[in-house]
Amino acid sequence: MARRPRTAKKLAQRIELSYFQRPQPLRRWRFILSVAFPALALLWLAVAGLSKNRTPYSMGAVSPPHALFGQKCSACHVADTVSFRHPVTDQACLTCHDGPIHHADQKFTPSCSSCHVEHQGRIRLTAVRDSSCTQCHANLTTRAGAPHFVRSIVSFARHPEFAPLRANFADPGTIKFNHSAHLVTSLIGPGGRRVQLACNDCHRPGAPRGSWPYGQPGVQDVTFSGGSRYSPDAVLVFGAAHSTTAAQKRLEFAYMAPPTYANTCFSCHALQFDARFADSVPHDKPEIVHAFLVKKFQDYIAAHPDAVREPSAVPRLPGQPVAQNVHAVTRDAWVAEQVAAAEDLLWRKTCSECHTLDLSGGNSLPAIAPSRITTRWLPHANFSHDAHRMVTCVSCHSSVASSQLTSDVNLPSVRVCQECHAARASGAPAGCFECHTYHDWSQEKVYPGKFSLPDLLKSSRNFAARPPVAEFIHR
Amino acid sequence: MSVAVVELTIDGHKVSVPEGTTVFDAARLNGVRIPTLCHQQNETPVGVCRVCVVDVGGRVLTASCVRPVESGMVVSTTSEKVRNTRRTLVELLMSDHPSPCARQQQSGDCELEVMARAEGVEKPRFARRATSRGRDDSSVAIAVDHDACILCDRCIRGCDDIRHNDVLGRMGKGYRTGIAFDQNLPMGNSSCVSCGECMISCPTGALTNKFHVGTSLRTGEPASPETLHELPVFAGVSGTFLELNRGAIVMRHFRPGEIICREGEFGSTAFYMLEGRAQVSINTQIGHVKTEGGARGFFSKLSSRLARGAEDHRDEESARRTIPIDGPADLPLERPVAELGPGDLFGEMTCMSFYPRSATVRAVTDVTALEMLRNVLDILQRNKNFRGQIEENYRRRALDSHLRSVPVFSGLTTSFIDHLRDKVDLVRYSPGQLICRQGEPADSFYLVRIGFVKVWQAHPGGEMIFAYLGRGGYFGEIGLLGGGLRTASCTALDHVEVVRIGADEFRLMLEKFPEIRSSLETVAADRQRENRERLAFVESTPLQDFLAQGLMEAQSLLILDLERCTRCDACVRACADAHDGVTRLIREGLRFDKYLVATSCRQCRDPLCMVGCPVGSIRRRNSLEVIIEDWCIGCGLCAKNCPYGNINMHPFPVQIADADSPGRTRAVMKQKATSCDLCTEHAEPSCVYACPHDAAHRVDPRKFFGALLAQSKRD
Amino acid sequence: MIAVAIVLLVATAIYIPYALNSPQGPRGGSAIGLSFGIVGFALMIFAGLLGARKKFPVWRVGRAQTWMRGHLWLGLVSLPIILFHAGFHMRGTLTLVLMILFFIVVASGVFGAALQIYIPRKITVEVPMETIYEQIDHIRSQLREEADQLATAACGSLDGTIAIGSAPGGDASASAVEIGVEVSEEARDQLREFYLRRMRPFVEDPARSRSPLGDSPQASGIFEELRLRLPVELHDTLKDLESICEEERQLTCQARLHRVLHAWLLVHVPLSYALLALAAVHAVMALRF
Repeated sequence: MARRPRTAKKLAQRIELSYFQRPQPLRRWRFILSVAFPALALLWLAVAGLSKNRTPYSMGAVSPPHALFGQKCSACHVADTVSFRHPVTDQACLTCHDGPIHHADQKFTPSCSSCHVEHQGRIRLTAVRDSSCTQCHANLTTRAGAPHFVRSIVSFARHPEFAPLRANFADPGTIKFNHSAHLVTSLIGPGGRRVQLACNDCHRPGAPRGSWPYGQPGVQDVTFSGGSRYSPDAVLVFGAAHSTTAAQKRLEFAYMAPPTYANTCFSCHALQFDARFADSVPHDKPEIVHAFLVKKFQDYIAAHPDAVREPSAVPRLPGQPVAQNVHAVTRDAWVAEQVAAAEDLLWRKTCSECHTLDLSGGNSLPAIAPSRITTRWLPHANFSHDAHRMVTCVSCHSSVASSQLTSDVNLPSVRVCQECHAARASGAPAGCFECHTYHDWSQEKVYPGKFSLPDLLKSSRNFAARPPVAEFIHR
Repeated sequence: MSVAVVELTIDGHKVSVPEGTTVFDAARLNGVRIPTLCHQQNETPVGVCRVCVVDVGGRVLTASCVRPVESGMVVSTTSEKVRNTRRTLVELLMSDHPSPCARQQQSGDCELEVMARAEGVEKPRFARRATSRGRDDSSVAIAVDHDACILCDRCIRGCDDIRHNDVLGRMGKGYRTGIAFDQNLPMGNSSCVSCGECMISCPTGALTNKFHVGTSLRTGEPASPETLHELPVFAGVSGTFLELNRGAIVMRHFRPGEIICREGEFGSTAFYMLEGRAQVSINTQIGHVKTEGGARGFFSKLSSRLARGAEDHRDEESARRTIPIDGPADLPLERPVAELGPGDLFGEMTCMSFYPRSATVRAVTDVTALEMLRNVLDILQRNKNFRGQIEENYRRRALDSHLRSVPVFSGLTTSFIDHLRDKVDLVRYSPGQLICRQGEPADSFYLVRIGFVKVWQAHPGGEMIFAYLGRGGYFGEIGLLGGGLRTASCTALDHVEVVRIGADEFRLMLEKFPEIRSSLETVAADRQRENRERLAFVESTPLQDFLAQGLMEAQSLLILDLERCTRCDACVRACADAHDGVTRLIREGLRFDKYLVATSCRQCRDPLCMVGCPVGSIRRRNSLEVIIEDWCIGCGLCAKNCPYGNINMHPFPVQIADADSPGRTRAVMKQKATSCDLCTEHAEPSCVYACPHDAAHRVDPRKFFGALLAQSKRD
Repeated sequence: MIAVAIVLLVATAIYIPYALNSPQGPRGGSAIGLSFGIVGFALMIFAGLLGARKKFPVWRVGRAQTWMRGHLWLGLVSLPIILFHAGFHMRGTLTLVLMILFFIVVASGVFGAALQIYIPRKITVEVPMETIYEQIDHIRSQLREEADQLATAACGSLDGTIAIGSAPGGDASASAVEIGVEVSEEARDQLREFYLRRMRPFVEDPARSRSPLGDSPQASGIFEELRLRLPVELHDTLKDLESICEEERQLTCQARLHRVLHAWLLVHVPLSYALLALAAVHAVMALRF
């Protein structure tokens, strides 16, 4: 055993009693660093504050339209005069642009920033999350009671069927048409040739593209103006080559223009009225047709005065032997007779082939119901055929080949859309905002500009580019 | 063993004394008184004053205090030559003495001046020295007057040899010789601890008491030395001592029915009855705690109540019939009442060893008693008169019941006890003193009267303690019954008094009372069996460590679980915070198992720290907490005595009046003893409270380590 | 601990539906996000108060151990709660810095807690002669004196180059008398040379000196060799010197382990203060905007 005995007393007596009150390196450094680190941190913030750099406090980059105000917090975070908070108020947004209310009967109006979330990086601000919509539409109630629409819509995958396709909805158009008959493989076409009709021989988007294969040559291309966003009726505009607004142009490409006689029916469906004449009556109002007929017959009798004595009131079809019923009339009477006979043919047969004529009125000319061709079946949703131009028509409009009735609605079912537009990773976008808009832009107020360029530029300071890391994170 | 005896003649008388005795002692033993100045009975003689010179027929006179006797020496202590020499010496000393010196003024017993008067020296013929040697008033307790110093060396020997404080020494030479404190520092600035030994040793007024240490008992009127000296028991007690300790012994008067002391209280005084009668009794309910109810089911409760022995007989129930108390009588178990009268001393153990009061004493008639602190009782115990009276008292009153209180001896007849009465010895032992040693021939049987002893054996790792015995315990029978050699050693733990029965009387007792022999043999066999079992554990290291570190003695240990302790010092800081910035706990010590036994008061069962406190300022508040009173003089004895270094002396700056510039104060460092006080004003000790890692615990070591020890017992 | 698990479950149960259903996704600014943020901040402040609690160990405001457990568990649960608050986003410079700091603080805390389980055991096992770290230098000076005393006692004055002070421990003075008589001058010279050339430099600065005495097997080899060369009277001194070397080595080991045990705090504590400061700024700014 070593002769260095260790007893408790000896060990204790080695220790200086005030050792713990002396400064010790570990504790000292702990203290120094505990002061230094917060000081550094606050110094960083102070430096940023002094140079008016708001980056430390920003929660992320702002969307591209607002990038100019990225550093000017007070542009959106309005300073409340009394309280401490600087919230983002709707007023701040409305300073520059309007956001009309969605529906007069809505229960509450969410604030701008509750749907349009900034500081998420360079995103599309209008790309609103579904949950912003479903916060009402998942269980819809209005101030006026129950809604007219489906009560619960939670996602596109469970989107209800389109209204026109629900039960008992009939196409309101008055032009009698049988798609199936026109789409048979060997249809008798102009000049007796056999033709096969394709969809876009008759249905094309509004702006002029190429020539119409079955149209009337020489007649100017007809385009249509989509009208306002909410108006379902097309407005036929003759010869309009440019649209006035971008919105108009989008509409023109989005929807198919209603087929016109001049563009699509003319080649096959001639409007002949008498064997003596090869031409057709103009496809126009009955008055004009009547005037045309009168002129035509007058010109004919002037050129052929002997025709007065020909047997009348019997339609003389080409190639048929002449009937023997002959009587003498004056020229005017003859004209009137011929016109009446021609109109009889037209009203009862030729025009009635497609139109619905109402002869019950007292005067001799029929009333023709407006065609009421629907160009936009879903007024509350935006759809663009142009965006889908890579798809064949029949892959969506699959019911057309078998559609025989005019009243058939050949709109594709929502299930067709859901095949591609789904919430999976390889699906086409399926957010609410892709088709629907919240704001009722028909009520949009006009905002005259308020800011001059120096005003805008003053607010934004260009700082050095952020390091790639920050860029990556903030994206 | 026999010592050679020398024969010589002193003043015409033939005397024979053991070889090695000095002439002075030889004379003293034979009634011849030789005056001395530098010799004190309790100090090694140095022979510097030469006042004790005697004529032994040599060329010169010889100093009797240092000269050993020789065979055939003829000593003359009163011859003309001797007397003249003595007178001249005294005269020379008196010539420089500032008569009357301080002591002479205070108590009239300056040894030099008394001797001068006795020798008839009125006015010395010699001139006083020109320059004064100065005074030193820097000490708080003791005034130093170098002019009165006769360079007798008593103070130096007292400080060095008796008290081992090693403060005093001699400095200078020739006329500039003097006593010095440390490196000749002023006494108050030196390492002097104001124990007073030098003051008591000084024969003149060179070192006198300054009455600054206020040891005083609060109630009662201080008894003056004159009053005390009127009592026969105080004859021979130093008047100086009584004067110096004036406040430490007081006279108290009690009316009938008044309670003098209550059982269970802690105190530090003893009472000596002068007049009247008092009743001593134990008033707590006699019964033991019995726990009932079970741990069956979730809601059953454990309840405790007191049960008497008759109702609930326990296996190891002792056959004890009396309750030993700290007084001259033992109380019978059935009705624990006894009576005390004049001449009875009670409270000895409380006073000497700071145990709690063992019984309640209530005055029956008007009672006058002296209440005294430990230092006074200590001196009294040394005084022959006092001791004689107390022992006489004991033999007359208490020996009987005391012997009979030990169940083994309950069958002794009165006649035998009468026979024993004068044959037994009452022997006192100081703390730590060895009573009997293992391996020695057994020659006595011991019965403990007061105090505690430990019975132990020596082992390579340390001591293996077999038992602690208190009043009523006995030992020594195994040696006497067995082969005649002691099987274990026995040491006094505190101030112990034993009744010693010699081997012859013991054997006589066994012959006369065979039933005692058989019960003793049974006890001896039991004890030996237990000892063997205990020895069997000693081989395992943890137990060895446990004992070697003295952990058995501790009632409460502060242990730090080293596997959880992150050495963050939170405990030490908390202790310092709770105690004026000075910690009472040191995170260093020996390890036991995975625990560090921190250096912090262990609340030992036998508080070795309390032994020897000269002013009785260290005591217990309850059974655990050690209190150091305000009047701690910083002598450091308790710190030295504590075997684990748990008491530390702290210097505190204290403002005292500056002697050099009156009206201003000066800071000096005073030492005070401090130790862990268990933070009793809080529910939990601060160190345990502040440990964030649940590593600090205050535990009872036997319970806490019980599992570990039991494990090693099984292994 | 169970309470914390329950809190975590409740918090998760609140968070998941909130995250899925809220219109803009989970954000710090939404009501639930804000409550998470407040709860998380409160937990962080409580965790920070542990430092204050330790400064006033005597105040009876709850046991230090309770505070420590609270600090650990509540601090740990603040991590998911803050993540819920942030909606698992990491945008914004200040908030990114906060999140990084937060992760470092919690990770260092967990690391420190693991250290505090492992290292004390290591110290206990590897350093039987452990003492108080802050006093190691003081103890080393005492060991130096003890070694000097032993050497002087065994081989006489060390050329008077070293002043001998009084050292606690070692009855070296007694041995001078015993040894001086029998040992040859040559042996004493050898010992003196060994002591002065090899051991004293080591004892002067054990941490930095590259003495072979710093390596336990090498040291025992050196001493073994010495025991073969020197007479048996000096073996006790050698044993003591060897024991002193052992103690020096153990103290070096203890110092190293102690620093390992406490170094992580130099990261954890300052960063946590920085975190709290920045978190306060963030709370103010976020509420403001």
